[in-house]
Amino acid sequence: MLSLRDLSVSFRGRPVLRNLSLDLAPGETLGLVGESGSGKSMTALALMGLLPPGFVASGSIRLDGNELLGLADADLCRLRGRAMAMIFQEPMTALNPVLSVGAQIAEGLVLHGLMAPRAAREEAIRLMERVGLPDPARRARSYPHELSGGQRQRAMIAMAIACRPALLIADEPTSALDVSLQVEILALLREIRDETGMAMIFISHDLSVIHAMADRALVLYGGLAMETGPTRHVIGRPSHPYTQGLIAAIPRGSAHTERLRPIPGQVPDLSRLPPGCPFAGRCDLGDARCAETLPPLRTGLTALHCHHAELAPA
Amino acid sequence: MVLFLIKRLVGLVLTLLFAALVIFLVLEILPGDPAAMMMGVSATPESVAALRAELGLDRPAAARFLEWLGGFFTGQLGLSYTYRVPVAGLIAERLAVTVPLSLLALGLAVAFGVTLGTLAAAHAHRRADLIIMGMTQLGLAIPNFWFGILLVLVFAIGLGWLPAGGFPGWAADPMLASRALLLPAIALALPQAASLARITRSTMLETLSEDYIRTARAKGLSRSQTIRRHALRNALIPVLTILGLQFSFLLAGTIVVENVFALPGLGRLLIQAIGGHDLILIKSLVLFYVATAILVNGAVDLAYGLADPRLRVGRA
Repeated sequence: MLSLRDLSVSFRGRPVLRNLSLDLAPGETLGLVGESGSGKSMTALALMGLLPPGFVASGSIRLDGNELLGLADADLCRLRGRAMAMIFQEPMTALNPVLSVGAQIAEGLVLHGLMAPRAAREEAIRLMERVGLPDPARRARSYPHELSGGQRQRAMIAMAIACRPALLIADEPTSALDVSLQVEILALLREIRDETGMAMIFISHDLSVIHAMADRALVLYGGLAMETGPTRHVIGRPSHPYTQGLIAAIPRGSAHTERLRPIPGQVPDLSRLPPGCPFAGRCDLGDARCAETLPPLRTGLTALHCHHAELAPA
Repeated sequence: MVLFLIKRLVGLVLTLLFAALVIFLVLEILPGDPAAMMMGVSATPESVAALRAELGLDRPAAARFLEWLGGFFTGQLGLSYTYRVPVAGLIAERLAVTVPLSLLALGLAVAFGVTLGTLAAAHAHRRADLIIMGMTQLGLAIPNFWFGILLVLVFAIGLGWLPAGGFPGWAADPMLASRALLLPAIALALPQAASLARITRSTMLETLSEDYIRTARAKGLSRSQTIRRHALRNALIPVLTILGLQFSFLLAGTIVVENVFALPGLGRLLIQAIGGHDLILIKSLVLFYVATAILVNGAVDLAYGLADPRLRVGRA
């Protein structure tokens, strides 16, 4: 239902996302993993057609067969919130402080012509109940500052699923929350996904969260898809040196016996990427060719962009 | 909430008392004997002394101060030296011109300022923005009285659409009276609209970069729907404070503009009172201006709570 071909995003001529291709089926969840600045959020915003001013997307984004890139804003407005919806990272700032929570949830239903205002108000209360907000009828009249962080994120989810979108993009929806709340919100998102059969793009820097949520994982680094494939292979048997480094850097239970192995160096500045592999400077296998030419896509158990990696057999 | 209101109210009263004291003391210290002024140069010392006694000027300052303050509650503010009528009545009569004039100017300033400022922000750094910001520079730079004269030249003398000045009174012809207020209100509103437009533009730009604006867009709202439904109210909260402060400038503006257009308002009365050394009238008028400015700012504080739910106290 969603199909990206060679999606690139650039800012003032400099690439921040390069040649991203992926396909997503209904009911499927794709996990986008990467450090901050790897291009995860830019991918999400490009899909929604909400890139900040100055950012230009090229390539192709097809949703249910319709090309989204180059679409007029008025046409995109009909799709946003209706065919595809998004949950943002910061529940503290992503809700309008001067409008009641119920009104913000009901707004999309009325906007997309699905319901009359009164019916939408009642539907908002039902949605709030669905996402587990206590006392929804009263909470609907509350303002965002009267809700806790977890409650606000539940309200955000209610807002995003109001119009039953076919695609839900969740951009680090639990990163700003306590760990115990994280688990609850992830469980809620899984439940709703299985109930509605919507496709989901789940963005996180946290591999354990991706492991819990995604059927397939895509590892982004410096605006380039390093490795992609079924989540269990990408996390369990990674072939790409970057993914291997990422997994080796995860603290394990036996913290006393095993030393953490951080990846040496720093994430490259997106505005000064090398023409070749963005990981070249930090990679054990990196050589002159890596920095100069973009590695081709190679497919084994997983698909990856790398000159050197030995592929695990499919 | 009640405690908050009481605190604000006590603050208001103390500020007013202090202002009254300063006004009274300044006018006490200033040279010039009102009684001597009224009697003219040929008056004998005896007749001046008699008048002083009649006006109560020979009594101690503290007693006169308290009596003056009390007058604001009883309406007995004394007689104007120059007009020989009660000050309270004089002020009330002039308010019938100045209050509608100020409100009309304020309405124009808010309507044009907020609309133009929002437009400029929506088209930031593009042509519409540059044109609007250029206009506001001009609006801020042009003095009230000069713009008033220009308006008279064009719309009253040149085109003959509106009266050049004077005020026929509400009783005679309300329509004609409102027409007489239109040009002065425009002259008065110009700098206010200009600065409101600039402030609205900057707060709107700030608001448009907030996360919840992106949320609204992700819901499917168009840019202009997002501005109207989500950004405007947030952007106007800081504008509200400025509006309270600007109202004082607007009041000061009425003094100039009423004189340009020969309107029998409070501002003109103040200038005439100063010209005639009418001290009793001056001190009551000045205190009246101070009270208005303080009360408007108090009202703005309360309006905050209405505009921003985060500032509402005592709600679950």
